[in-house]
Amino acid sequence: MSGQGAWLLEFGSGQTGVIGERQLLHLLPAPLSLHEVPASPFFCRHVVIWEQEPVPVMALSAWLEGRPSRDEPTVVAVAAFFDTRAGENRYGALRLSAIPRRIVVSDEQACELPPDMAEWREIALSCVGHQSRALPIVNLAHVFSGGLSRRGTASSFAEALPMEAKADIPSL
Amino acid sequence: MSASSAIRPVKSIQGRYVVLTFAGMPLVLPDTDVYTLEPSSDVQPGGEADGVAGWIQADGRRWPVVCLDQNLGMTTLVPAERRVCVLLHHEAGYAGVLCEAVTTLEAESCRSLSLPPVLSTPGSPVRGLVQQEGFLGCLTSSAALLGSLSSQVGLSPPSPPESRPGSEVHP
Repeated sequence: MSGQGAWLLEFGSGQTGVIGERQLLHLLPAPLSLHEVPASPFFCRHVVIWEQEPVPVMALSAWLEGRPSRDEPTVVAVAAFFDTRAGENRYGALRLSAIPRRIVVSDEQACELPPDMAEWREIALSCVGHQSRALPIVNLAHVFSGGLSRRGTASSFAEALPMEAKADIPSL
Repeated sequence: MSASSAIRPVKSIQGRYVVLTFAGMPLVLPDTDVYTLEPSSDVQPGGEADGVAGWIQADGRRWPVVCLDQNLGMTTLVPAERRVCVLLHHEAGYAGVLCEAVTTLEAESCRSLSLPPVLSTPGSPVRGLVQQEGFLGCLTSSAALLGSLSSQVGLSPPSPPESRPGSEVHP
């Protein structure tokens, strides 16, 4: 059976996943102009302007680990997904630690999600084996739906910051 | 490919927006939500027990003043850069918010956009985004902002100043 093209994405902290070839629309290289949104989840704190529109920027490695990422992304990938509830295409951006790599996968490569990747269960459509690695196929519609479970104890960036990271600021 | 189909506009306002900047983030409110601007030097510091950054006098009464962090939570640690106190209308009177800078935008020249659902959290006062050429801010309102803080501290009008002499002492 012939394979299909896909993009291998590295989200940082060793977390990797796959999206469909046609889902990746644009790569935005660093330095990025990200706009912070207050009172947003620690795993999605920013929007980036793409095609004159604000697109949410997701730090999947932060969500997977349940704590905010302090790493600057190497690149941000704008991706498309179909929102079945709205019945239309939507757009989201993913923080990546490396340039995406194009790979080819086929149905024969389908595999179970390994037990040590249980945190992926909520956001993986399925999983493929590639070069001795299990690669979850990312459910972008769920990732950007606003329905992600709140992993970790912090619901916000500020809550998740270690005490020593908070500025020593003078009182009024 | 355009992203326009993914972003739904929210109802825009007439008149002007006021942009409050603090912690590096612009927060946008309708100008009708703002009563007045005062220098932060007019703010009497609050004590730990107050839970607010301080108090300010207006219309013959004292009103609470809050200092917000990057998550729109209250802090009693006030950065020196917060030099402006924006007094907002509140259902029971007024409440002040300390800012680094205040500017205005013509609402007519702005696009109001809904907040992507993934950026929303329960209780967040952010109601949408406001975009103008080279600018993106988060839209809220006095009611939404102060309402989200009311769970942290009561923002009802305090007693007259003469009954609270201790609160004027800097800790």
